[in-house]
This record gives sequence, structure tokens and C-alpha cells, in this order.
Amino acid sequence: MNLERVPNEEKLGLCRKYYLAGFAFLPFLWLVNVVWFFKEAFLKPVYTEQLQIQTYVKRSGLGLLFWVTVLTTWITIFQHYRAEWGEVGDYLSFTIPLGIP
Amino acid sequence: MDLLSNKWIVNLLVSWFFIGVGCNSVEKKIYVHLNYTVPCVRLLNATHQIGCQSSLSGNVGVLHVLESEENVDWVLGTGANPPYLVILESALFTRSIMMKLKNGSGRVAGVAVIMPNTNPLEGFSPHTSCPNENTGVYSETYDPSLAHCNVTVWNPFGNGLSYEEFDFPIFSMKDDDDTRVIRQCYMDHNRGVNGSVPQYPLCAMQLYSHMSAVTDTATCMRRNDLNLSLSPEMICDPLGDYNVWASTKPLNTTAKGHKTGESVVVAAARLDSRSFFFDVAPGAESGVSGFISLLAAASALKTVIQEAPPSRTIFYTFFQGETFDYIGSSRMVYDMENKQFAVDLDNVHSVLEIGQVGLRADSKLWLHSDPVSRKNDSVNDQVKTLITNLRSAAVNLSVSVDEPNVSQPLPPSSFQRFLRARPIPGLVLEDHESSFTNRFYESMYDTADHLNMSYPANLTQEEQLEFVTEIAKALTEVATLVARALYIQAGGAEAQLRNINADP
Repeated sequence: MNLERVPNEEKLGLCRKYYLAGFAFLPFLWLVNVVWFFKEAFLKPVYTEQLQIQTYVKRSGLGLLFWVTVLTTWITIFQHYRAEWGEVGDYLSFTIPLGIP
Repeated sequence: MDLLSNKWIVNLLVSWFFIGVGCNSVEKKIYVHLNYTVPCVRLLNATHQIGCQSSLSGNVGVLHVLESEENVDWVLGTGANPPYLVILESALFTRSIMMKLKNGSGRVAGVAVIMPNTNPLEGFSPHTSCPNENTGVYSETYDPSLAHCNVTVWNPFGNGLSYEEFDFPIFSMKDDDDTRVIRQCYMDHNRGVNGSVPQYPLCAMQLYSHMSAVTDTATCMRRNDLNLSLSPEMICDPLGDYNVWASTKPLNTTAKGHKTGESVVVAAARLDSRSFFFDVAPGAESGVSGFISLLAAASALKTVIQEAPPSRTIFYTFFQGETFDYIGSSRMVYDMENKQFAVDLDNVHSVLEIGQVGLRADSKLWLHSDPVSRKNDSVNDQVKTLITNLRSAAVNLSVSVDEPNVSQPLPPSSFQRFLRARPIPGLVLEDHESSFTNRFYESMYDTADHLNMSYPANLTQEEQLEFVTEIAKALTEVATLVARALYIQAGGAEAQLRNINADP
């Protein structure tokens, strides 16, 4: 969506909505927040709401980083150790590859 | 007008184009499909997996016909175009070569064995040298000196290949035209002449036998039940079938458990066999000789039992799955112990098992018994009675029976599972005194030819069914012996023996 013609209060409102919605285990919204509002927050000349937008973008960025690390760690551990976990691994899996442990 | 005729011309041309081109399958130009191939499959038990596995899209490798054992180095080290697919003549299908190829670490894509039309001269047995050593009666608790074939190695030719795990597919091919084409292709393209490295294009082969089962039985059965997702499919099948049993006296089979007053003589034989490859299980000497003799004996006893029934019932049991750690007999003993069977172990008076009886050297049959249970006097007396009965049954026949000279444990037999439950007197009838006379135990070579079953050249199928071969005559003798012995053991009168004769 093109933010050029959007008034500043609406921009702030959007950023805020995405930031708050991301707390519902939706890190992708934070990613969208960061990517979309990055230019607005850091690369545009200063305007009144920009400080607020900057905080929201920074916090979304932090949240995103947190999620990325958690998910990467879990996926690595699962892929590596699923075979060794036996029963637990099988109950946690959605599809199990055939023919290899 | 012009436009319309133009359109027509274009249409005509296009349709001629399609007709003229025809259908040429590129696949047919590249691949030659082989018929008559048998794969080796993956089998699981409670703790391990054995057998072969291929990748999901098949294993492709450059063809290499192995010329000798030293040639294996070409495959494993010096060859420039790994991975190789090794073609073995049956003489080279040995444990040492297969183990070297197993440790090939990615250079071996698969193995194809060419099955010969005649049996090899030396023995070959892919089973272990001590069959079913962990599931018989001889364990450390029963008698450590007899466990693990310490006294007699039953299967000396056994190289244990069936129980190894390979991570490449192994197929067997028939020795026919396709095999000739393969060898010719290798000679023309893949063979380095005078030490030169063969260049592309090279002949290659693709083997496909992807196995879904993995790890061990518990995991596999769990995954079978679990498969909750989009495509429920069977990952593995349990090894199972039915035992067949019959008794001479009608029994109430709905009433399970002990039957008071019933004394049963169990006559047992096994039905099954296996080989290294899937579904090839001729088992002529290891399985068929035994159960055919028992069937003939049952048929021989038919009239006499009706006219002069003996005091004890005879139970004819045919066990399935004995190759794989006594599936059938262990189930029957389990059912008997848990009162799920028509009789239980207290009803069993004695057991006579017919083992491998096809290859008799100088017409002798050997009676194997269990030395540990015979330490008990009452069991010993019963066994001695059984032996005497067998000897008296053999009196007028060309078969003679004898006990082995040395005190040795029982060969692998279903009777061992009965002994695990309780010391029952019993004998196992075999044609070997110590190790097997069967050089091809549980292998694809244990066929009718192995028993020298040959028909004269110009007989039709129906005539062949009526023709009595040498081996049929030999087995008839065995069957008569068994029938008479069972009759006496069941308490019949000696006088009736002359009337019991098996029909060749």
C-alpha cells in the first residue's frame, strides 16, 4: 500500500495496530511492520509522529528477532533429534519420512 | 473465399504434421526393462533392521561386472566413475565380497546377482550358522554349555548374509538374454582396455526397491497406527500366517484350556522357508520334505485309526513362520499356556517332530533328543519308549533309525519352544547326525533339483503328477515309518502295523 498520500496520524495508527496485533503470536506482522515503516521511521524528514513510529518499528524488530531465534533453534533441534526421540518424535510429527529413520 | 480456403489448407497441413510424426518414446530408446528380477527387502525385528534399501527414485550406478575378488578394488578405490552397480556371478556372491561392498561408503550403488540355472557345487546358505539361536530352548539359563551352538554348529555353510543390513538394493536376475545384453554392454563400453580409463558414454543400470519400513518393529507398528495425516498408508506388514493343526479324535475347539483325560501325541512339521531374496522360498529339503512326509503319514493312518483307534489322540500340527524365530510354534505354546487353545500343555504327552528328511545318506534317520530334559528320569524313560517305538516301527522298512552317538542338543526345531514351557519328552527326526546335510539351508538353491527330483524327459504335466520319483519313494518310506511310530506311541497295537503304509 502506498503511504505517500496517507496522513501522518493514520500512519501512526497503522503502525500501532500492526505492532499490537503481533503480540498474538503473529511475528509475521512485525516483519511487515518493520519492512513497511522502515523508510517512514528512519529515512524521511522529521515530522511529529515519527518518533512514535520509530519506537514501534524498533520494538517490532526486537520481537521479530526473538521469534526468529526461537524458531530456528527449535527447528534445528527437531530435525536433528527427531529420530532419536522415538515415540515422542513421532507424536510431534505431522508427516514422517518413509524408509529413513 | 480466399481466407476460408487458406484456413482449410492450414488445418490440413497441421493434421498431416501430427500423423506424420507418430509417437516415439525416448524412454524406450534409453532403458531396457528387465523381467524376472527379485529384490531383497527390508525386514525388522524388535531391535534391528536387516535387508536392503534403495533411494526414493532408485539407485543408478555405472555397470561393472565383477570378474574376481581382487576386482572389487576397482569398485571401491581405483574406478573413476563411482557409484558403481556391481553385477555378480553367483560364484562370487560370497560373504567376503558382500561385506567389502557393504563398506563401500557411497561408491556402490547396488548389486545384481545372476542366478545360475543349476545349483553351485559348494554349499551356500545365507542363514546364520546357528539358526534361531536366541529363541530356542538353549540359553544361558537352560544350559550354558549347549547354548549358541557350542557343541554342534548346525549350519556350517551359513554365512549370515540374510541378517546383514545393506544400504543399497540387491536384486537377483535370471541368466537369460537380458543378462547377455548387459554383459555385452559392459564388455563394449565399460571395460578399460589395457589399463585405460573407460570414458563416457558408459552403460548404467537403475535399481528401484524403496522400503518404507525402518528402525525396528515397535517403531514401525507405531507409525502404522499413527499415520493421521493426508495419506494414510501402510508402512510395514507384520510377518504372519496361520498354523494348521488337526486331531484324530474330534475335539471341542470352543472349550479352551485343559481337557481332562485327553493325552495327546503332537506330530509336528514346519511349513515355511526363506531365501535371501523376497518371495523366493523353495525350501525343498528344509521345509517341504518334512511336511510332505507328515501329510503322507496322516493319510496312511486314516483307515487304521477308524478301525482300531489308539488310546491317545494324535495331533498333526504344521507350523508356519518357523524360520523367523519360531513364529508359529511359539504362538501355539503361548496359547496353550494361556488356556486359549483347545488343549493345554498338561494334555501333551509327547512330541515327535519331522525335520529335514530329504537327503538321507545310507538310508539312516537320526533321532535327536534334548539331553537336559532327559536328566529327569521320568522324561528319560518316556523318550526311551519313544525311541523303541520308532525302532520297532522301522523293522520291516528300508529305513533305519538311530540315535546320534554324542550327547548334543536339539537341532533348531519347533519342539524347542515346547521345551521352553515345560520338559516334555520328544524326538526330532532328521537326516543328519550332527551338522545339516543340507548345504543350501534357507537359500534359493534349495529346490527340487537339490533333492534330485527329476522326471523322464517326455512327460506331460498330468503324467508328471502321476509319476513316482526316487525322492517320492524315499519320503514314502519316511512317512510309513512316522505313521507306524505315531500309532504305537498313541497306544495302538503292534499287530496293526503291517496295515499302515503310505502311498507314494
